[in-house]
Amino acid sequence: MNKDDKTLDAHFDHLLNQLEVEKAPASLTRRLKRIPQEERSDKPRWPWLFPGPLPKWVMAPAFAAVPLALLVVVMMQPRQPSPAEVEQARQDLAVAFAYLDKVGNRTGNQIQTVIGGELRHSVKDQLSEHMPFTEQSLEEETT
Amino acid sequence: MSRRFRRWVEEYQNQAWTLARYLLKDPAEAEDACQEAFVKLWKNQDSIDPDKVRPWLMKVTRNGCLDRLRRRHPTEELQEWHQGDVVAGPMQGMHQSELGSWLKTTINSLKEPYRSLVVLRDVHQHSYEEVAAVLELNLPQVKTYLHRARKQLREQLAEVRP
Repeated sequence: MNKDDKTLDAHFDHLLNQLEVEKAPASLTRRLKRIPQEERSDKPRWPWLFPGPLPKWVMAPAFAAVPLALLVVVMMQPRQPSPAEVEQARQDLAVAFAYLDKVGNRTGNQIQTVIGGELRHSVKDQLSEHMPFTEQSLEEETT
Repeated sequence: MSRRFRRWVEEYQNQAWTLARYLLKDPAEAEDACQEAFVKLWKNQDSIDPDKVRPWLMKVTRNGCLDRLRRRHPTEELQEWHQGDVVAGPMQGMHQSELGSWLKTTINSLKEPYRSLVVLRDVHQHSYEEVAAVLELNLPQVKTYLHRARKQLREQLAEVRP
C-alpha cells in the first residue's frame, strides 16, 4: 500500500466517522408518541373475554351461520308441487272417495236391512192382530 | 407499558429515521415507514426480548422500507433504483462538507444489503452481531459484504477526491 492509498484510507475513514445519525423531525416524534393512545382505542371492548388478539376461530361460527341461515330460509319457502304430483294426488283422492262411497253404500244397505226388517215385523205383527188382510197385502208388496 | 414505549421512541426514533431516510430518500415516506415500524413495536412489545428491541426495530424498519421500494417500482429490480443517484464522473476540487454530502449520496447508490450495512454499521455504529441480526446474515457475510461496500465507496472517493 503506497502513501496515496494510506491517505485515501484515512480520508475515507474520516468521512465515515463524520456520518451522523440524523435527528428525527418533530412531526415524526409527535406521531410516534401518539401511537399508544391510538392503538389503545382500537383494542376490543371486552378484553376479559378475549385477552390479546381475537382468535381466528371466533369468526368460524359466524361464517358457518350464513349458509345455515340461507338453508333454513330456502326450506321455509312454500314449495309448488309438480304437475305429476298434482295428478297423483288427484288419483289418490278419487280412489279414496270411491272407497268411501262403497263403504257408505254397504253400511246404508245393512242399516236399511236391519231397521227395515225389524220395523216391518213389528208393524206386521201389530196389524195382523187387528186386520188380517194386511198379511196378504204385505206378501203382495214383498213380491 | 406506555412509559417503556416512550423510552424506546426517545432512544431509537433517530436511528429508525436515518435508516428510512437512507433507504427511501423521500422524507414523508420515511416518516410513514418509521411510524409503521413503531406501531408494530407497540403491538409486539410483550413478545420482544427487551435487550433486542433495537435490532428488531431496525429490521422491521428496513423491511418496511424495502417493501415500499418494491411497490414503488413493481416491475424493476431494486438495483435500478439504487443507480439513480450515482455521481457521474470525477468531481475534483470538492470541499470537505461537500464530500460529506457526496458520501451520503454515494451510500444511497449502493445496492442492498450493502447500503443497509454501511448505514447500520458506520452511521448507527451497531455491533457486527446486531447488524447480522437485522439483515439476517451470518457474521462472516456481514464482514465480507461490509468490506465490499466500503471498497466501492473508497474507489468512488478516489475519483472525486481533491
